[in-house]
Amino acid sequence: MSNTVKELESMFHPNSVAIIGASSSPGKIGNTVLVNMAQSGYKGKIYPINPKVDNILGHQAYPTVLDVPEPIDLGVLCIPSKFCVPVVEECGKKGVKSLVIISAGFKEVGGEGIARENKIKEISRQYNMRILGPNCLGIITEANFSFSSLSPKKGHIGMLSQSGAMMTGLLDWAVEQDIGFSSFISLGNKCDADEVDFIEYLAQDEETKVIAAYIESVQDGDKFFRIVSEATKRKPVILLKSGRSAAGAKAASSHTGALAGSDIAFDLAFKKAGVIRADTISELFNYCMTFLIAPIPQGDKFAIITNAGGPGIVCTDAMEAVGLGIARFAEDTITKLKKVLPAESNFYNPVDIIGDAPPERYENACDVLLQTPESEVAGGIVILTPQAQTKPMEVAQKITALHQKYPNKSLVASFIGGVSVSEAAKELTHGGVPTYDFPEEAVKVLKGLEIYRGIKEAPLITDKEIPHFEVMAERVQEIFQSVREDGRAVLLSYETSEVFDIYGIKNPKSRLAQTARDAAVIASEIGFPVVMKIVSPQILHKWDCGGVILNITSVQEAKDAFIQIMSNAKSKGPLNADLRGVEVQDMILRDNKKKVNEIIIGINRDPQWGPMIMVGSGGIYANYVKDVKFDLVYQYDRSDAINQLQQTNISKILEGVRGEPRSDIDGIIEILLRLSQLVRDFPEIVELDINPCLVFEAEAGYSAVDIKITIKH
Amino acid sequence: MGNRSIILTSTKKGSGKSVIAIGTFLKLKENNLNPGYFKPIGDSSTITPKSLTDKDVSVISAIVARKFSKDQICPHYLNPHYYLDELLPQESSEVMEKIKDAYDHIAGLTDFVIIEGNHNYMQYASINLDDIRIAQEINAKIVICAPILDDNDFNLLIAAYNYCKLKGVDVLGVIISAVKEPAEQRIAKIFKPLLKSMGIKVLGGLKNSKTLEKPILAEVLVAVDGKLLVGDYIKIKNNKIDGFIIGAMNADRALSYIQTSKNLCIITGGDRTEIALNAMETNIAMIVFTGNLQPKIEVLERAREKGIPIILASSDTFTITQRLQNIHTEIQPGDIELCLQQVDQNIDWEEFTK
Repeated sequence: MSNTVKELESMFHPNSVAIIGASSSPGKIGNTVLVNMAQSGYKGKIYPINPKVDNILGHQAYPTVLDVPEPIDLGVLCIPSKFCVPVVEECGKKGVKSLVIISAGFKEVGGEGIARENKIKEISRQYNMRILGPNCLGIITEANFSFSSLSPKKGHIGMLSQSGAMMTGLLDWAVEQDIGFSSFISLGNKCDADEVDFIEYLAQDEETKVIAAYIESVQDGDKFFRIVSEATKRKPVILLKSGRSAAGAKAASSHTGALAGSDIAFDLAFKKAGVIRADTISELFNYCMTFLIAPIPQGDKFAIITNAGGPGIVCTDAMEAVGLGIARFAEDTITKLKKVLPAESNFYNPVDIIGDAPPERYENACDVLLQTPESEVAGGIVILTPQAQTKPMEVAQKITALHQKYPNKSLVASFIGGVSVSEAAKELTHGGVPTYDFPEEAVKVLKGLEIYRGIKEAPLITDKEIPHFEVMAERVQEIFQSVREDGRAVLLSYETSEVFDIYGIKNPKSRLAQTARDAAVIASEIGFPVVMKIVSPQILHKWDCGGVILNITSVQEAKDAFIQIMSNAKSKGPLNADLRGVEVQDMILRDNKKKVNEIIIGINRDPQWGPMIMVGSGGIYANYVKDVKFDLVYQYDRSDAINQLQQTNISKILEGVRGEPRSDIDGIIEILLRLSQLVRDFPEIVELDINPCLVFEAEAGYSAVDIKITIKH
Repeated sequence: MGNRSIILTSTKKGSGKSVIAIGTFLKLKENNLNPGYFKPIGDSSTITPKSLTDKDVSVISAIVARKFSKDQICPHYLNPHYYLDELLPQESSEVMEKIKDAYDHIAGLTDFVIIEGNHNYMQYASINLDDIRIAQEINAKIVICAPILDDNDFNLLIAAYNYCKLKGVDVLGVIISAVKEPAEQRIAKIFKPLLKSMGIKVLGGLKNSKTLEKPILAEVLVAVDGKLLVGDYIKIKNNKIDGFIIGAMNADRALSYIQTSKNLCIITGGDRTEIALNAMETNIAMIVFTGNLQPKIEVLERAREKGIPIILASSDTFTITQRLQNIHTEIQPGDIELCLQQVDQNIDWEEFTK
């Protein structure tokens, strides 16, 4: 048992609770919490703390926690925030193990509130007390230690909510829906214990089968990966994260930043940690209910059984949209279906048993499909539309029985309709077959089950072996240092070229010339033809001021080009331009290659999740084509890189189409891995773009032609 | 006739050397002499794909000296900012020989050669190709042209004179031109008497000419490195502009400034539609849109209707403004009469050939 779990035990299962600010006046929070505890059947000792009275609702009251003769496991603070600091200090002295601070008036109000929150955080560390909140609704575990008037029924969903209002709404709804919870935690300001601590606790809590949460932010990305990726191996973790906006993208200066948007990092992080992301509240609970009752599929192909063509097609479309495998039946299966179904039926997926289907037809068709091996049909979606001969309840009973007969096959249902199917739907759900009004919802949850199978089977992310390349990192450090000393955040091209050389990423040979004679010597050493470009931190558009000359083929041309470029930049560039010289670069001759593709590779840093790496179709239209895929650099290995590249459209072209040779895909994978090490080694890299990176046929390699690196200034 | 040639050298840019050269050339012709023009070293940074030569040479060969080719008039080119990348001191004697040969050719076919020196008398001293050194080699007398704004410019003039003396070169005299009106008074009351007392001959001074200072549209286009969006270049390239104004304030305020003068060039961002539309209702000469921001179609349409040229430039407003402030106006074919007048009325040109 980890320290966190041990420490939070006193919050989940306290033997004694002090209600600080307890009151006998109905309507006061201190009264509601006390009443809720009593009504929810709390069996431990209750110590109301109130200096003005001796007894509250039959319990002896004490002026302070220090006056309580017995030890206290949990303190619940229901007092104005201005009194909290000394009370937390008293709790520490008393040896209270954990606190739930319901009081508001902390970080969320700014100013003094922030100082107050920092102070209680400091005291809690000093006394090793865990805190939930402040500014929260409380916690509902074996008893209700919150001021929510509603106590949900006991169940197996462990629920966290960063919003108190969302929690009250969900509780109210859950009571009506008859959904039960193992615990319900309102996170509040998360000054100490956060979502990850509670997920860690709930992961080992036997009463909790599924962990669900509504969160608005994640405090510590690294901790999230470490803890949550382990928790998801034990039980499904489903998170609803708000704020899918792209506002952050506007501030980004790089291609990578502009293409990323603010929410991609959350998607990637959740995927990496094995979290299933819900987009809506109803989806969150659909997943929860499905995971509670349905088995995890043992394969990835599913059947559709329907008594109507239309919903069958809708269901097929939905499966294709979410990438859920549509089973192709073996000959033997089709033969068996033909035996049990009328000739007008469709014996292929989706299996249409036609409108007049009696319960037995559903039973027979499902039986044939469920008896197949897991690899052929791992489960199915049973669709029913109420038609003249349809008997929904009897169908439901037959399906439930089949679920008992084939417990390892994942079955979900969609009974489309209202009054005529509602009872049947309940029968199915109680019988372990999650049922939804429409096929799309059924598809989504089945996909959730299938995703979770992958999550369970994947190796633990923290166990992955990340490739390491030997590099001269000290030299890169020196380059970055000189860039900072120069008052810049963006590296000049010859600096990026050196960084890439050190990290073993091929880029055109390039050196800075400060005189025409230097340029001639460098050009001769690099080998003609060369490209020459002005180097100035202030000149962003080199072409506009005549700062680029291509195809220089002799020493004299190199000399002339140097003077021409410097002179052009002086007369046509910005007046404040600091002309550092001219970069002489190896010129890539595209005509010499059998195949040239432009790709973009970039790095962007997310404040919560760290560096993100991007790959996709590059060139001047990269931002418009938007054929890019991202991944987080955290525990990024070769299989991640391959998988990421394969998700892009350009990957098919790189593989070779229309008789073209295969491109240097291994080279791209190598760049991705080496770049991921670069940004791990240097957290000061804020953004990095390679656009384009020219990729040639496999034997000709690649060349990172245009590179931009921005570091923290 | 005494002298065979003079070198017009200067203390700094803007000395009026070209006006003096053209005016003198024409004056000598009027007097039935056969004058020649020579520029030992051209400025390669001013070579354009069209002219293929130095700015001054391009102008003068177009106006007056058609009988020699551009290469004969100007035998060598250097970039004033990066000439050491082209030529080291130990390599310059060859260039000097080339200059001498070219000079000898022109001198042999003319009665008198007017030699226009470098941007200032010190230029290319490090590679022994400065005006004074060339004067020694071809045995030419020096005329120092000094633009005068204040007393500091007088220092430059005396320093140039002393340097010539130190190098043992004959200085025929000096031409001191007032850059602005107040300087004329100081020239008359202080500088001229001082020069006289020092035994330095004053050969005159150009009068301030507003017409010669006004840039033309073609010069603006080159200075801002812009594209002409509205207007027929051939027809309007010689349109002169009286001044510049920056439209960076709000539209109403901008208009109040624009209305104070006429024939102005407005410099503003391409997205400042209101300023542009308001300005076009006044007597403006043209608009330069900065930052590569394409103006709206309604602005272009109105400009076409009103016949107002529109230029689009990629640099920022600050850079464009600075470039236009330092715009170097050249003598246009229509200005040659003015050059003749200037020399005739203000310069003791007869002294050159004595």
